Amino acid sequence: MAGVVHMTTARDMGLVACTTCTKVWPIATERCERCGATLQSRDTQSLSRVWAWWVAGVMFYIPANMYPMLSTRTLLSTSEDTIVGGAVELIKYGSVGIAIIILVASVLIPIAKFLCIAYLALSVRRGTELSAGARFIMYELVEYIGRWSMIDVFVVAILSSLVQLNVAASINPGIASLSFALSVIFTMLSAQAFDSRLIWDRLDEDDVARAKHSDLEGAR
Amino acid sequence: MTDEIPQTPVDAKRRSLWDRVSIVWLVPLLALFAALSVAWQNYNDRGPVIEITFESAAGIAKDETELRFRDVTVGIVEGVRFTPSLDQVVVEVRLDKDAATFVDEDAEFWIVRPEVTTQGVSGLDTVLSGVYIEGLWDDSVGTLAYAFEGLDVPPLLPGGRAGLTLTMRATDGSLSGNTPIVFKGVEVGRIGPAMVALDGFSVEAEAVVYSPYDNLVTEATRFWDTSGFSLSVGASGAAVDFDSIASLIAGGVTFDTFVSGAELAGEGAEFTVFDSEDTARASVFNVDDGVTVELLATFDGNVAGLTNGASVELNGLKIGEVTGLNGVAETTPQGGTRVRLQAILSIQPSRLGMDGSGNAEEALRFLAGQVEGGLRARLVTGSIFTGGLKVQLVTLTGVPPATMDLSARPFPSIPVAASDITDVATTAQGTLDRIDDLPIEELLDSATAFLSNAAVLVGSAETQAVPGDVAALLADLRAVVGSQDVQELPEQLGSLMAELEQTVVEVRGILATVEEEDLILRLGGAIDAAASLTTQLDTALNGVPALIEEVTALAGQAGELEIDALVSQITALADQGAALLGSDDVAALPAQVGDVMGTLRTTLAEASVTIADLNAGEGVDRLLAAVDAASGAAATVEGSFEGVPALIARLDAIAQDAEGLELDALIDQLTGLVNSADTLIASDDTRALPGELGAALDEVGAILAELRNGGAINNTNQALLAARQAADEIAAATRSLPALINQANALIRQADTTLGGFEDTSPAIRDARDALREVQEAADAVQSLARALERSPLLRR
Repeated sequence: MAGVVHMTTARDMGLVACTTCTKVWPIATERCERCGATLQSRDTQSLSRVWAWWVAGVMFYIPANMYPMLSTRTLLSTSEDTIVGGAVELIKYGSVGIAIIILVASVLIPIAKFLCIAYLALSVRRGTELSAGARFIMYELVEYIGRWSMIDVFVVAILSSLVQLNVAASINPGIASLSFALSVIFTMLSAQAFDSRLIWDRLDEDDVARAKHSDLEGAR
Repeated sequence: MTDEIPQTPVDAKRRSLWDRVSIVWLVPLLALFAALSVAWQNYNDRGPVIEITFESAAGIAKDETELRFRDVTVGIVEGVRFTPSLDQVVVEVRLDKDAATFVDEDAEFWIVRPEVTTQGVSGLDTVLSGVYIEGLWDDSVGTLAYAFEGLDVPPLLPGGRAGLTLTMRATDGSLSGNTPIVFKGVEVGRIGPAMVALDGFSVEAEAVVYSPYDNLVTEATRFWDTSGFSLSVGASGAAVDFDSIASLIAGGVTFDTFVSGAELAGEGAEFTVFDSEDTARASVFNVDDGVTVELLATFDGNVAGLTNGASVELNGLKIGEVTGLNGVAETTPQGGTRVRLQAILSIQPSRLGMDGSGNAEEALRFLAGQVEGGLRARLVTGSIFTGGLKVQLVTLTGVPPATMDLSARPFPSIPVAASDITDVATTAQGTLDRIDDLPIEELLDSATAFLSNAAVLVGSAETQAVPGDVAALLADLRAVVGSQDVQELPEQLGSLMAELEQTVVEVRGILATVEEEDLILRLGGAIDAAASLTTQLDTALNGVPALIEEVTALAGQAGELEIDALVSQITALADQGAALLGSDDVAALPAQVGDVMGTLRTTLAEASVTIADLNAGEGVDRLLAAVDAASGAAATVEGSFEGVPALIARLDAIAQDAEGLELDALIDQLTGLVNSADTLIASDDTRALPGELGAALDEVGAILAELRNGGAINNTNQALLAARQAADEIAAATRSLPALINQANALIRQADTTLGGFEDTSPAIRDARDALREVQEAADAVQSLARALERSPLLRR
């Protein structure tokens, strides 16, 4: 793969760092003697967990967009809006800015996160044209931004608790808000489960082949 | 601590599947399982979809409108569409699975909307939540039905409420729908929407009485309308009566069971709603003969006067009444349309003696058989005065055969015959025409003319002048009576008498002398002359009784005179009387009398001288003859005086007549009297009387003058004797004077009383009263004269 610069990793050097207290141990060490955490040069189950959370996240993201986010009941009418539907309504009423915010926070970012995590996980095995540094920045960004997706859920929670005027008007969270929250949580867990050290591993042909081989074996 | 890093073999350890597959995969798997299970459960729990058709689907929204059973949601609307004919709306409702088992074909559905009616507000919650569909079904599991017809209005019995369903019926307007049934102020039931019955003559409504109040309704229960209010004014004041404010506004029906012992009403029993409690109460005691048979009779022509309730009679017996009137349009054979009167005859079979169940059919069969025999319905006059009609079932002969149409709708129809209506209006018209022909207008014209003539007569100047003339006459009379000369007559008479007494004394002396001197014979010649003169006077006076008779006759005639003639005659009499009284003769009469007296006095004075001379003469014999003549004359005077009592009697009769007469009759008599007086006064004899009197006196004067010269003293004694007799007669006559005076007094009193009945306003009456008073004074004077005569020594002798 052209442009891929192989760096020397701790693993190459026969070292392993404790992910809890960051002390470096020889690679054979099983347990961190300082904090007692299990030492692992590479989390073998990392990608598996990433994909598990990722799938769960995507699963919950579907109802989060299909079902209404908010159920707004006023004196005479009840309106239920999905995320996209609400944004479209806002655009219709001229609040384009707010609509963009909602769309970005509730649609663009979660989808981007799914794509980023999937890309990262795939790139560990398949290699990529993107440099490892760029991918690391991407990972950092996903992890950082992921929590802000909960802003939608917070808005719903606050509105629901504030606007409870019984007869006159009330706002209740819809099914979508719960599934959206779960989706965000699962996405965050998915991002967290990703072992970023995998980015730095050399991805040579052997590794690729071995990985393929081991996959086949695993499948068998 | 070594610098060397120990070489650690790195094993490519074969990792197990559990090592490579994280346990985190359970999360999406669980989520997937949960999602799938929820989806499957949703699908599994879905109930069937039923379709309900409504007239309109106002307020029904897909996925929002709920189906509720006892206010619990048991389904939701999944779709709204039209029927193929677009006249109704089909609502598709997804039922809950557990509710679906009870929804069989008996289930009912209606839409609950907010309603504000006089009975209150209902469905207010649907204002906010939107309408919903209410379902009602029983608790028995049945075969699921999929298509339903929605109700327009909620059923009367709400879900879970037991009650008795009744049918209310009314022929007038006393039944209004959607009103409560109230018993002693408590709402115990409801009446559903009222509908006009299929026959078109009554109003029907379904009603329910909630349990446990349904035990109050028996077969003898009467329902009546309590809406509105009644106002009654009586001796105890005015009373406004209404049941409750609610029923005043919304109307209502109440009921009561006036008779105990009847069986409880069954489900679906029919009741009549009366318009008031009184009629409801009265209906209890009406012999309700149970089943009635309705017949339809279609009458021709315009039959105003037939009303609901008119009796239906068979052979004079009332067997039912008219319960409905209707017009029915028919096509005539000529192609046009005409309207005929259709009457519903409600016949009670029990009046025909058919009791027991099934009597309706029996009665119909009976009537049908009678119709074959000629029974027909016809209209006859029920009341001549009001023009009310009744229906008579009568068997006629010679009518075209007909049968009763038992299959006619809505009721069997009975054939009709020509109406037998006595038109009282025609008879009355004839009577009025005859009255109209009476000559009322001519009669009125005659009366008007008569009254006009009477008005002219009364208003004529002559009639109105009568009182004035009478007054003038009376005034003249008073003037005559009250004149100085008349007043002085008694005095002059008195002085004359005194002088006569002296003369007689002197004559006595002369007679004594005559006896001595025997000169009486010379007087005889003069006495003879006096005798002849006296005879003449006698004949002259002979006319007086005839005159008196004539006066009497005239007085009789006078009573027969008419007022018109009277007026003119009175006027003429008044004129003549005035002329007579104003004439010189009458005016000169007192003076002549005075002169005669004077002459008599001088004659007597001369006679005394002559008698003194006679003492030496021979004239006594002649004087005696003269005295004889004087005696004859006195006798004549006596004869003439004989008429006076008759006259007095007549006057007496007149006075008595006047006593019994009213003023009118009095005037009549007066008129006659005045007439007679007029005639008397106007007669030549009367006019000549003063002249003759004067001539007689002159002759007396001449005789006396002759006596003075002659020697006829001889007859003087006889003459004196005759004079004595004459004086006696006069005394006798004078004795009747008091009676005359009394009579006159009575007359005057009577007249006074009669005239006193009038007011003093009329001058005529006042004059009359004055005249009467004058007459009374004159009578008094006459009375005193009579007394003086009685006292006179001449007469006493």
